[in-house]
Formats: sequence, C-alpha cells, structure tokens
Amino acid sequence: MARHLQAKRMMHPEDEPEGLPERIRQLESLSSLARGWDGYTAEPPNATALGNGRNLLEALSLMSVVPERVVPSADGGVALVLSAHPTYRAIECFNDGEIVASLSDRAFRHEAWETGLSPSALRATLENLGFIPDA
Amino acid sequence: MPEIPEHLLRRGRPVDPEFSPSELLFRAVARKDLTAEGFLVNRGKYSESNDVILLRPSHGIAAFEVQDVPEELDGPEGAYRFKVEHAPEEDNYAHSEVRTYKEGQRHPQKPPRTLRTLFRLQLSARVRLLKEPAT
Repeated sequence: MARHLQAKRMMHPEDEPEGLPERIRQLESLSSLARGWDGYTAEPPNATALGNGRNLLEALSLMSVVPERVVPSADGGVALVLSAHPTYRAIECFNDGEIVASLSDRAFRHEAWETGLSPSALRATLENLGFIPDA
Repeated sequence: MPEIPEHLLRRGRPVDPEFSPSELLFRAVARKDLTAEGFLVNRGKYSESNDVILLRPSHGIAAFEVQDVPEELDGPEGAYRFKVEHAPEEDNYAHSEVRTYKEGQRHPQKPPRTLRTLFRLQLSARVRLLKEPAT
C-alpha cells in the first residue's frame, strides 16, 4: 500500500478523479490535428504514436499511474506528461515508433532515454522517473 | 491576411551573422506547455515579439536569449553543437534557425531523438512566456 501511495502522490490531486477515460479522450482528440498544428511544420500524431500512447496509458493505469495530461509533440507524436511541476516527467510516443522518457527539474537536471512498452522497460522507466509502482 | 510590417520586409538586406548572447529570440507557441519545441525563431534585433503571431493570433509568444540555447550535447554518436543563425526570408527578415553541427560541419539530419528531447528540456527551463496562447 505504501508503494501505491508514493506513486499516487506524484499526481496533482485535481487530476486524479478524471483518471484513465479522460486521458484516453485527450489522446483520441489529438487524431484531429493537422500538419502545422503548432503554427510551424509539426506533423500530427499518426496511428503508431496514438496506438502506442493508448497501450502506454493502459499499462500505466495498471500500475496506478495516471498522467496529468496528454499533449501532442512538435517532434511528431504524443506526450504523456506524468507530472509538470516542479519536476517535469513524461513519456513520449513518436510517429516512427520510438518511445522516449524524460525528466527535468527545470534547472540543472535534464535526462532523456529510450524506453519501451514491455512491463520490465516500463517499470524501470517509472523507477527512473521517481515513481514506485505497485509490485 | 494581415499586412506585413515594414520592419520585417527584407528589401535586399544581407544576412547578419552577428548575434549578441543576450539578443532575444521569439517563437509562437500553440500551447503554453510547448514553449521550446522547434528550431525556427524570429530574432529580436529585427523584430518585435508580436510579429511571430501576426499570422497566428491565437498563439502565445515564447522568448529566450541566444545564450539560453544549449551550445553542445553529447550523444552516443558524438557531440552535437547548436548555433542560432540568421536565415532571412523576403517577408520576414528576422527569421532565424537553430542549426545543428557535428564535427564542425552542418549536420543535415536531425540529432538523435534523445538529444532533441534533452535540447528541448534544457531550453524549456529558460524560456519565458510573454503571452499565453488562447488554447
């Protein structure tokens, strides 16, 4: 139980009630974006990014982790933002199938690494991001 | 279509390669949490902040200084350097790009995804949002 609570505390309280269905709705809404949605040349998320994003959302929910928000990436894909402030933690699923986790304290510590959707990769990523998911 | 301000028209002016470290760079942002995505900017020496949203009035405005752009990032394939360069267009003399160099040569491809993510994280920590986007 303590491990579960530690993971839960990483989320903003106001986001908890919305949970998985709201994040899936946010993800699906990104499919309507057009090229240049950022005002420049960004590609919209494609089926690969959206599919991986959906799988990732569901896998995270099994570990009691619900992202604060789901947003498009200007690099082509979707970003699941696990926490925005004070420390930024995200996992991004890109159109080419790459999945990258990132962590930033918005000052001196900035990290990014490739990850995957397997349970072991996801668990390691969550631990690196400072989450301790349920065993 | 709004009229292009006189100060943005190139009118035969040459490329100005000199940037002061404190020169401001402006970029339109579609979302307030995506302030440092992308490599296209307007330089403050030849433009005003509002110019970047002339054609995108619902967008916000992000600003950072030339010295805020990470100079170099190390990746598995070696070091990548980043440099702000003036790339004027006929209807936007202030247009500039953050360009990538590897082993002293302009690198035509994008750096690896993890480095691009690190670049974005480092820059995001220094960006100021001058105007919030409507969405």
